[in-house]
Amino acid sequence: MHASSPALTATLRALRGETDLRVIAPAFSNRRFARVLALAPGVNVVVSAPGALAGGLPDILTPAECASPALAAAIASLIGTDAGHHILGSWADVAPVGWGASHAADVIDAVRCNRCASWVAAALIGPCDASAALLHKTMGHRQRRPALGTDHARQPDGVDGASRFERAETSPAYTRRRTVLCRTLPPLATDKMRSNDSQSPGGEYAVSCVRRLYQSVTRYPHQSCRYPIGAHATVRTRRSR
Amino acid sequence: MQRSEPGDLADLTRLAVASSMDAAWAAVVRLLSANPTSALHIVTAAPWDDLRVDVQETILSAADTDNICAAIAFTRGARPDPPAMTRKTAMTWKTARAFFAAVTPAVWNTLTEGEQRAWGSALGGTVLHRVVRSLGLDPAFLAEATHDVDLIAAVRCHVPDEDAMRGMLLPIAVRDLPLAAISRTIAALPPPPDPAAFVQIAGGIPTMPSALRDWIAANPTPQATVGAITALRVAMQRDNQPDHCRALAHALEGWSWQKTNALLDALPNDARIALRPDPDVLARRLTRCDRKRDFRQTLDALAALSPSVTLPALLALGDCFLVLVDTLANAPRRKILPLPRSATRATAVHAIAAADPLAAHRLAHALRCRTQGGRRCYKRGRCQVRHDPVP
Repeated sequence: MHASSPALTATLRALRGETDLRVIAPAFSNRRFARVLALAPGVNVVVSAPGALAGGLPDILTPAECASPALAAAIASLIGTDAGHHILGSWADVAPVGWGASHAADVIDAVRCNRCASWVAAALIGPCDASAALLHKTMGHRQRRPALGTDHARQPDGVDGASRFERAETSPAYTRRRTVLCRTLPPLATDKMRSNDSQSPGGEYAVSCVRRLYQSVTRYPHQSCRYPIGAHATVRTRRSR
Repeated sequence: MQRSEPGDLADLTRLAVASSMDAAWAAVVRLLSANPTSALHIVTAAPWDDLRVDVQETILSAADTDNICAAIAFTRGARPDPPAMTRKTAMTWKTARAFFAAVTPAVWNTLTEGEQRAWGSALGGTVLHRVVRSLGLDPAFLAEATHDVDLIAAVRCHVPDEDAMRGMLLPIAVRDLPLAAISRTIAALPPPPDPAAFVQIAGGIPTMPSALRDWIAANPTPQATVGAITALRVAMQRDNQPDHCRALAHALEGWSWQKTNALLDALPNDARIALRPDPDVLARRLTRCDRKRDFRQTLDALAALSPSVTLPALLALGDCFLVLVDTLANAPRRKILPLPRSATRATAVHAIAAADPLAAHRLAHALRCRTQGGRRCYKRGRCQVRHDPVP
């Protein structure tokens, strides 16, 4: 690395008190520099919190920081940028539920520009047709479960397609997506919890929310997969728990 | 919970700790009684003191039949010897994980240094956050810990507030920075509250020599901190990248030999030897019998320069590279600069070596091996010569 790389220069400026995110943005594109910004004492929260997100350390943010309007505005200003691309994934872990609804157009544009993953956008926007469509367009085609007993079920390497699907469902990346997406669901109401299975408080209600989130998928004409994208995996896994 | 399986035990334990549900604890005990080895998942999922008494008793009662439970029992003082002390084969990575998940500082401190090292080596470096959770914020563990969610949770168990937590994690972030960025970044940071711990963690050394601690206390300046961290990182990585040489030259800029030698003397042995190799040992091991004198003269000439020139030069061999190579015995010379058979190419490589020894080294190897990797190496060496010459 050259001693005067943009990330280093931006980091040094932030450490000396700069708070203009457009100036500091290059530091967020490098995970190692972003972590320094997140942890250095005396750095403004508008800089340190995006640094923590870009550095993959959302857990160091306090609930008060996550709910801060200044932070929300700062992150909104980065949607669609390269820095935003590095931040939004972690922001989906800790953002206030439905935060992205007011920025839905920008977030969807960022998805089109490959500056935001579709599932991240869906998690930020929350349960609605737009987020369901985002999920359908990406997860659906990749994680289609082949029908058992068909030629497509047998992969060239001899691995059963259904088994591959099962493995994908339990992979850490898939589990994280599922966790983040489920986090966006509305809080469980007490009466709903009482009315469902006592062994799994709120479980059926959560399942129905997830199902509703993905129900609109079936309204899209190019929907062709047998299992509605993600919904199947989410519902089934939560049931089995 | 009734349908839970041994694979669910970690999640079930977390649920039981968080909710205190009797049904969850009962399921934990049921699964544990059927398979005592699964105690590993329980103690790694939650601290020992958070477990309910019946779970603790079930684990301790299985100590005679199961190595993992025996390791846990030892850490809780319910067993005089760890399993490894009674059976050599018992110290595996699983027992080590269980051991470190449940061990207390009091028990750890009763172990000899050899026993501590044996347990540490059995554990490996991937789950150091559990060591931090059990034994606290010892820089020896933080120096090798990986920055992740688990480490943050472990650190949070031992600090009074969020600022303290970030202060403990900052040197790990500095440790992971590129060498070229360290000096300017540390200069822009406020002085650390504990400079010795900062240097140990950012330098990535599990053992801190008392001499280095004293040297840092006697030199409480950012420049000294940068010098120590850079020296440790360069010495430990043993990678003669141009970036490393440049970073070392930058960190030692303006230092006298007296100050540099004081730092080098305080470093761990292997770091000191890497940065300041003994000329006699080098001459004996590397040179041809008839060229030892020339070799020593060249090293003496290097030593007469300032530290910011000499130490990087000892890594990259600088302008004296060709002289030194000529004095080497055949075997080390072929490793350092295997000249092409073609006289024209050999002359060209020689000329490049005078300007940039590292580029010449890569180029020479690339010309010799003619593989895909060699061609890439050739291109990289050629680009370096063209764009990034050593001044």
